[in-house]
Amino acid sequence: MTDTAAVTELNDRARGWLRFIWDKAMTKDDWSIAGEPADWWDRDSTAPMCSFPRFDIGEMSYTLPLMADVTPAWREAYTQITTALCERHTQFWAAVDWLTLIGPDPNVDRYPPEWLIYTPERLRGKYEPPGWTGNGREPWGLAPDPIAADGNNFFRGWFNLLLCAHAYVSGDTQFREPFQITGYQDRRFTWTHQEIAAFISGQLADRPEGAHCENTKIWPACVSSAGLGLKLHDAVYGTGLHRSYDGWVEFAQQHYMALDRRGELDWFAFYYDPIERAVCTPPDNLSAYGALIVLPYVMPQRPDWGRQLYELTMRRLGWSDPKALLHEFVPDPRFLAIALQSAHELGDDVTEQRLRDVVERDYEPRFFGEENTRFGFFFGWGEQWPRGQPNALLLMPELGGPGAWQRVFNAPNLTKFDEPTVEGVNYPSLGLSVARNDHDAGELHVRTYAATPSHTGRVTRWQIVGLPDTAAVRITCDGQDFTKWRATDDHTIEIELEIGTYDIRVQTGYRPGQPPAPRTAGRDATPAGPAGGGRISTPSSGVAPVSAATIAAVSSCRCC
Amino acid sequence: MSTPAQAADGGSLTVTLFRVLLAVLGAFMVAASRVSGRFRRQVTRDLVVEVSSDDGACQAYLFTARTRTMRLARTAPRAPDCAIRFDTAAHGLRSLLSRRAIGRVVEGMNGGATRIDGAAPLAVWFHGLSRVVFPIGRSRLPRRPIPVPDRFIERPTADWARRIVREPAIDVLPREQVHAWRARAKTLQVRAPGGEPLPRG
Repeated sequence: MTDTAAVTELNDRARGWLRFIWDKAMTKDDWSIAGEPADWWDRDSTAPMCSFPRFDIGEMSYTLPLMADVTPAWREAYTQITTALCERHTQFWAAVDWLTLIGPDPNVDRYPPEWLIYTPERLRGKYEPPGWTGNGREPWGLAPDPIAADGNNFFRGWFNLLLCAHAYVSGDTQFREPFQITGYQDRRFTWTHQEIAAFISGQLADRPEGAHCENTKIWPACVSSAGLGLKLHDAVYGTGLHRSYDGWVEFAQQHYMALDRRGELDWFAFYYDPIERAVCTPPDNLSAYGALIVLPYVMPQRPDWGRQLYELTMRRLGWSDPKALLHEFVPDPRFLAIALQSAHELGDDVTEQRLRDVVERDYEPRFFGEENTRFGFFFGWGEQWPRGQPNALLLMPELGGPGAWQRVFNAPNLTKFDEPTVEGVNYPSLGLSVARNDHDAGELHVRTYAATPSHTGRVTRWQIVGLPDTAAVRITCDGQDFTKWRATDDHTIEIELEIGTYDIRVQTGYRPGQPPAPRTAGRDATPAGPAGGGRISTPSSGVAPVSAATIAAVSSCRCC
Repeated sequence: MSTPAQAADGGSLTVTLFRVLLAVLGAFMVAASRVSGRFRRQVTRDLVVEVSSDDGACQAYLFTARTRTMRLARTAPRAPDCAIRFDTAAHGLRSLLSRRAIGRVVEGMNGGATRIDGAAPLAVWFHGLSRVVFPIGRSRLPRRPIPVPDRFIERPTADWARRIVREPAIDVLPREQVHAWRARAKTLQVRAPGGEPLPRG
């Protein structure tokens, strides 16, 4: 558990999580219509609404900007992961629900009772549960493009958030260029990131009640995740797309929730169906679950409302009451994981500790896999892989102190693109738990570790790029002068070092405000492949990150 | 202050009342399971729900998916899928007759006076079924209509809406899309109504 305001090192759990998501992202599998995602992608959690593999991608993406803020001077592994996630999100299996659950649901009266509670009481047994997207239904017709649709807001909303996470960690503009999305009957539709963001913003501006996801359910959580993507888009690219979310917040505060006479939460909508004119919300105190699931998305956008919802929710469930027993009324770790993340984010130590006690006792945290280097929560379910969706949420508190999640969106670190940066690290043989520039000291601090312990002692090389002047560089390793490095050009050095745990300080002379130095580094000549397979795609680390100025220039495109 | 004997009398009275409440509720639910489409549509699995109090009241509700019916038993014939257990019958009475029964159960659990063994979501489902016959408490609808206009297709003149490709409505995934059907069959959304056990969580 993190207990300091600023987390400056990836802890053991964070490193184990990184290793696992590296495996998942970088191991080739087939998300096309003829294939199927590998077993470790989470298609089971929070059924029926999230039991599709793209939700694993979406939740996983939250952890990467947080990791980039812990090690802003080493991000290439995160870049490769987000690139691989984005590429999967363009393929058939990312939209399997929209592309195959067509028309009215023939099984509305056959769903298990555990799922019926996610439908309005009066409609149970004659109404599609969440997750049944119903593409092709009247009045919407068939929308073959999973992005350009009246509905399917969750697909494009989380995709935009993922694309923004990629931009935030990498600085590269790969997805600003046209790419293809797989649609109905394997047809292809061409989009750019900025077009997707503009679509979401324009639609939300026209529909202050929110766009729907399934035909026809408007989810505050999905609208808020879409808004959060716009927020990060604005933060990274300097656009003004997020304004449309404010109108939705006003609408939601009036119509999607209510307080009782005592000012406590009376109800909060899981979703609203504007055709049935029905709100779905669990009864009484359990309605707090509806508010709970929006917290990670609302908090960075509307902190005051987020804090209010958090406090109302915790009181309603009794989770913030030190005298109350803490029960998970819905046996889905997503809810408690979100509560833990929110308590951590807001610095509510008492509640966080209560929730943390449950997590440590019941959620089976452990290292696993080859050389015991991967980390996850297994929940005592006897499954082979830790479920990606709740795990990502549970890992967020490990990756930053209070406020870290909100800082990604409200005080994004964009200067990292102009600062000296480590590249060419032979991950996952070698990993960096610390990589940040100390602006006051003009120093780059790096701490290495053997991400694959059996590779300890092997010699490896990596680069530091973006140095103001290599002639001014001085390096110490574990407090001793270090000389096994050479300048490869005026702004780049290459370091030769054994794989293992070392504390390295590089006097770079870099100070904020200096013009960015040119970058020319490449990867280690002999990168280790991912365990169990090859790479899904050409790593994007070969693309030199662009500067913040370049990113700002991209924002001048007419779409944004 | 009551004497132990008076308390015992009061206790036995509340136990009796609680038993009667559970039995009457059950009798109406049994009838509903034969005549109410709304009720029958929700009986999709063979389940046993039991409501009891530690001082002696107990009623089991047995659901049969094949016939979409419910019947009663004094005690569960097997381990119940969901058991709501109150510490006292008085507490059970107060909770189940409350306008906010689930809220009472939640608060009872937080205070240690109520337990749910098994799948807690089934308690919410059972509560919804009980409201078919005894609609005590509010349904969770906004106090005033939500001013969302009738849903219409997006303004076709908006720049972003021009991107939407609309094709004629269809009711079912065409059979010739073999790969899509194969993928669809692997989704939990399709497997679950087919009777496949749900994954944990």
